[in-house]
Amino acid sequence: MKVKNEKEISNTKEILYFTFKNKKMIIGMCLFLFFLLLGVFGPYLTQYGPMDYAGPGYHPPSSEYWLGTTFFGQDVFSQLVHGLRSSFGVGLLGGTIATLIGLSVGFFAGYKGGVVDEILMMVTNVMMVIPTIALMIVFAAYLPYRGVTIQAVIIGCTAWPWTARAVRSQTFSLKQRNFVSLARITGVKTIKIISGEIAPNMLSYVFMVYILQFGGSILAAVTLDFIGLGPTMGISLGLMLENAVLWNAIQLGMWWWIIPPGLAITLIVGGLYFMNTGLDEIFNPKLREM
Amino acid sequence: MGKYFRRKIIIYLITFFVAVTIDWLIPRFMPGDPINALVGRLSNYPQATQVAYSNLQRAFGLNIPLWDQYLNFWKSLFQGDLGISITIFPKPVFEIIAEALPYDLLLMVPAILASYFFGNKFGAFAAKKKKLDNWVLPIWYMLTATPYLWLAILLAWAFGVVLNIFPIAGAYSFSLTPSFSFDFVFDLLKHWVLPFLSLFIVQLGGWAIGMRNMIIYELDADYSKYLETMGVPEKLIRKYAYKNASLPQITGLAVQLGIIITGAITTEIVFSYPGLGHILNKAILQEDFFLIQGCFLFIIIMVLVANFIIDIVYVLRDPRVRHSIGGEM
Amino acid sequence: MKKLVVLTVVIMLLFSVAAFGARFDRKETMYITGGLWGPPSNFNPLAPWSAHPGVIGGIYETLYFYDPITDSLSPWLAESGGWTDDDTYKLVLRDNLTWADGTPLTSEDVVYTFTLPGSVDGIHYVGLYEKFESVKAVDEKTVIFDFSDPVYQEWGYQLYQIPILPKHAWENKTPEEMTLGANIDTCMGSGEYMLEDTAQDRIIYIRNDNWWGNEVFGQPKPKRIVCLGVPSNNVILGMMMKGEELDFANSFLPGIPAIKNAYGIHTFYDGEPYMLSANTAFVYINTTRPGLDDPKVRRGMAFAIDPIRIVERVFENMVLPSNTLGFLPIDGWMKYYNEDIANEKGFYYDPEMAKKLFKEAGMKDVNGDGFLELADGSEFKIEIICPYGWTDWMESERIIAEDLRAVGINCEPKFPEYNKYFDDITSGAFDLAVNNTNTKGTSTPWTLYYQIYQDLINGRANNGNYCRVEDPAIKELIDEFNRVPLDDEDKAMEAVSKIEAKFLDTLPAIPLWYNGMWFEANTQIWTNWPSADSDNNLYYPSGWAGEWQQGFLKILINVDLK
Repeated sequence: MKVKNEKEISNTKEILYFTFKNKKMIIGMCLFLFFLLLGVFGPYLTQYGPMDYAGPGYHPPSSEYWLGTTFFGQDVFSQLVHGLRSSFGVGLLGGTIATLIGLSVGFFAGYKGGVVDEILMMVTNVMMVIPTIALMIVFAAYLPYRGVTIQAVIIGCTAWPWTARAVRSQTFSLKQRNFVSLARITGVKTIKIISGEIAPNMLSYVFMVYILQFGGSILAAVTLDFIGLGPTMGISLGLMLENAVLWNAIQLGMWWWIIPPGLAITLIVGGLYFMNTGLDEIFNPKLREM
Repeated sequence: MGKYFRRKIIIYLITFFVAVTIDWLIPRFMPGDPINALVGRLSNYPQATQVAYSNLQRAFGLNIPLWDQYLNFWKSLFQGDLGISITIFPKPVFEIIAEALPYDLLLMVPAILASYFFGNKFGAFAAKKKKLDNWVLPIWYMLTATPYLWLAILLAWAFGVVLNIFPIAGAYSFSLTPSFSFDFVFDLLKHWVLPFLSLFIVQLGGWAIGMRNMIIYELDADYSKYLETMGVPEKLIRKYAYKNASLPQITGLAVQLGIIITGAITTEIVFSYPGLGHILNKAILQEDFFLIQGCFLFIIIMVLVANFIIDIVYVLRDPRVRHSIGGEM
Repeated sequence: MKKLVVLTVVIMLLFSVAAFGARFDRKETMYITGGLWGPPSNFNPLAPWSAHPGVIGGIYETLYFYDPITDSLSPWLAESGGWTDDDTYKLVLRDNLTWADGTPLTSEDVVYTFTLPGSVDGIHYVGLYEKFESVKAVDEKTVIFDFSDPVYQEWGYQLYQIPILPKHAWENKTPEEMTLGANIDTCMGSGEYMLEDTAQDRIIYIRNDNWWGNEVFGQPKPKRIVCLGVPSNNVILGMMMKGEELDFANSFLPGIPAIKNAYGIHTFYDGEPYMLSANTAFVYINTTRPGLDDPKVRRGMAFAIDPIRIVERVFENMVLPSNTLGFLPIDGWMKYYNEDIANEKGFYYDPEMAKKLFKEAGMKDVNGDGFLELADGSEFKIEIICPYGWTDWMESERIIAEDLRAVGINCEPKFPEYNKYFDDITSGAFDLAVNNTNTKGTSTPWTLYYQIYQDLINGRANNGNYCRVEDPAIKELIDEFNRVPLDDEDKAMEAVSKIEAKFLDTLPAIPLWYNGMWFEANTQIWTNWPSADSDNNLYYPSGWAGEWQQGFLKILINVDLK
């Protein structure tokens, strides 16, 4: 993802045109929206709560239980749609925090350079080395019970380093350009230059970063859930997978319990990646499909 | 070159120092008292509890001021002493980790190298064939979007339970004891295949996408166009493009390492593979903070060492870096 | 790349045709699992809370063997023993007892073991030691225990709990080594097996062919026992389904009822409940909290919970609901179960009764939120906790909370991490908690009451009494029960009945279900496993740490090769 020429993105009409012509963008958006709607409206389609004992255990998919039941007889469909809500929640909150921190650190380090850059990059490198799980454990111990929100915040606070690095080098190269130097010579404040000159030029890039962070947060949450650092109340897709493994779903061949949660995650995150590439192509004509 | 590495090493040392300090804080700042939990297992006889408590406190080195504990931690760190595990009492944490580590390396090193190698090759191959590209790109995207643990579960279910051709648990059959016999090594390989595949497949997609995008950029770059107009054979241009494109991929590897290691941890949990991830999971569930601390220390060291190797490779592949002191780490 | 593939294929082929190497002879080896939780680390018989399966019983032996199924205490190292008067216990050892190194095992070793707490701090049976006047060896075989405070119930329990130590080997150890040491290199006892080797995931025991008991009890069949630390229960289930990888497991395996017959997995009962009962899961109530300090409220909650639903949903009927006193269904306890008291004061699932009791306690829904408030109008909102990751309990807790909410008690299930859970229940920072500490089968229900009502130490309930009851009267009753000689059953019944009545009146803890004595076995290599269907093969199938002298030692002698 190289920096685009400002001329390329200036033409809004052209962008909209290519957005709706870009297959990747459309497929990605459809996948994403499908699961978003399923998460929003799905819970109204089922009469069972995610933790209710809806019927007999080990029940394969049927007209009564669309995706079968868990070991205890909970409705897998109900768990899935409620789990989707937590996943989107984590993606939204975690992705936003990570993007904001990453952008701020990256911009600032790249623009200021020198000692500020050195220190910020040092912090970034340290953050990169410390595993998210480590922080999760520390926080988990202090909070009596973990929820989806706190999980999202922690993910957001640890997922930003790569964004910071990438944004920093982008800023570096933008900084060298004439229009920025001009602003600086005329004595415009740092913040103003960043927000007024550099940031708009990187808008498309920022948007793509946000999409990646959104998907990354969803994946990170699944991992944390699975190793026993998930929310202690409620349900999430990661917890579904953790429970399935703990309650022998693999050995007992309960495919209806292990496939849906993972497939949903894969398709959502995959959809996001599609959108990311689609955007890249829209903003960067060289990559456009022929 | 010397200056560049000196600088790098200083950066690594500082990173190491800060990371280890944070790591040290983990067990010390926990609200629960780990020793209480251990003493709690002293069932039935309250009289023994008091004595055991102070004994254990001494054994764990928790009865001295924090500052001394910190200094002691560094001292003992260099002696390979990471304290004693609480869940696996009284086994030293260092020993537990040393026994687990070979399995991590056995799994992760081949998976990373193979996926990196094949991913880059496939990516570059697909980049020049538009039709193929349009077909395989979506697959690669779905692969990188797959959670490691879910792919692991699917593989375990499909190959372990439905087809029943690969074992799905442990690093070797429980009926064997580790030895250098053919029997054992073959068994080890059989157990290795599925966890390896789950790591390999997910990573493959990421590298392929990265390389494919890079190649397209490079082929579009001015120098490629220039070479083209000069009548240089396409094959040669592609070779240059590949070489240039592989540099950002190497940096990408450094960035990805943390995520790969976390992914490997979940894979190990699914397959009950006796590496660090498996031990860490147990330590987390049982709140064995010294063991958690030890695991993280090794993860930190692994990430740093890998980063360092990547740095060296980067320099070897791109002499320009020697001069760009102000560039990226 | 092609070369690489070819090379790999060649190597694979090479390995597959290669001769088979160092495998133990399967027909001489028994693979067991369920009691080893991590890499082997502790072989110290003085650390029973942490020592691995087999250390006590298999290597270090006890004076007696106790069978919980038939409630019989039978001599093991001892030949005979008995009270010669109210304060004196005379013990006679068997002839020709030897340690694995050939040294004779004599009365000196017994005296050394029982008097060790006098010279070394931190030995767990110091409480018993303090009740001795003296312990003396009369001759090579005879020991006289003279009590200043004869605790009959406790003594009957400790006779099969305290492993006898080899004096000649232990004298050289420092106190620190004795209490905290791992005892790996110095692990030498008198038992059926010896420690051969350990690895990351296993302990390998090898048969002691010179075992003193070969002529007395017969020789154990397996030459080696490999005690595996299988990382998770789903792996154990997989191994059980495969068959030849695992012979014996003591783990809760969800799905056993569904696949048992298809894969030929043996359980103690062929049909429901499949498992014997091992211990009782209680809901402990913090009796110092407002509202929960009212026995009516506590009893009301007991009537509101339906243990059958837990047993069916979570455990697939592999366990049984508990009786109203929480007594395990074993003779040693049930002989003290007072039917009259249980019928008169006991509880059963009846939500209407629960509502009535809450009404009597003055609770009503003041603010109209559907949940009851306390008599003084204050909000009554409680939490029930169990450790995070203990999946069967977590599910059970959800059901309990649901049941309580159905009768108007605002109860949330919560799952703190184990350490926090443990901190909370010991320091009293909880409302309700699921726990089963020290409720396992013993020779006497004294252990249960001792545990429920024992003293707090500095305000902490480290070993029981999570309910924080401070009632000298009930302590008195428990001590009275402890001092009844084992053979005076009428007097014991009288003493224990008083405790039972008081327990049910105040109900500080609600017994709900029995955790199973999880036992699954394969019959592909070894057969003749304990079974409810046979008359002479009723051994308690526990390979858990510290319990081999309750059945497993005899199982090892009793199994047959297929």
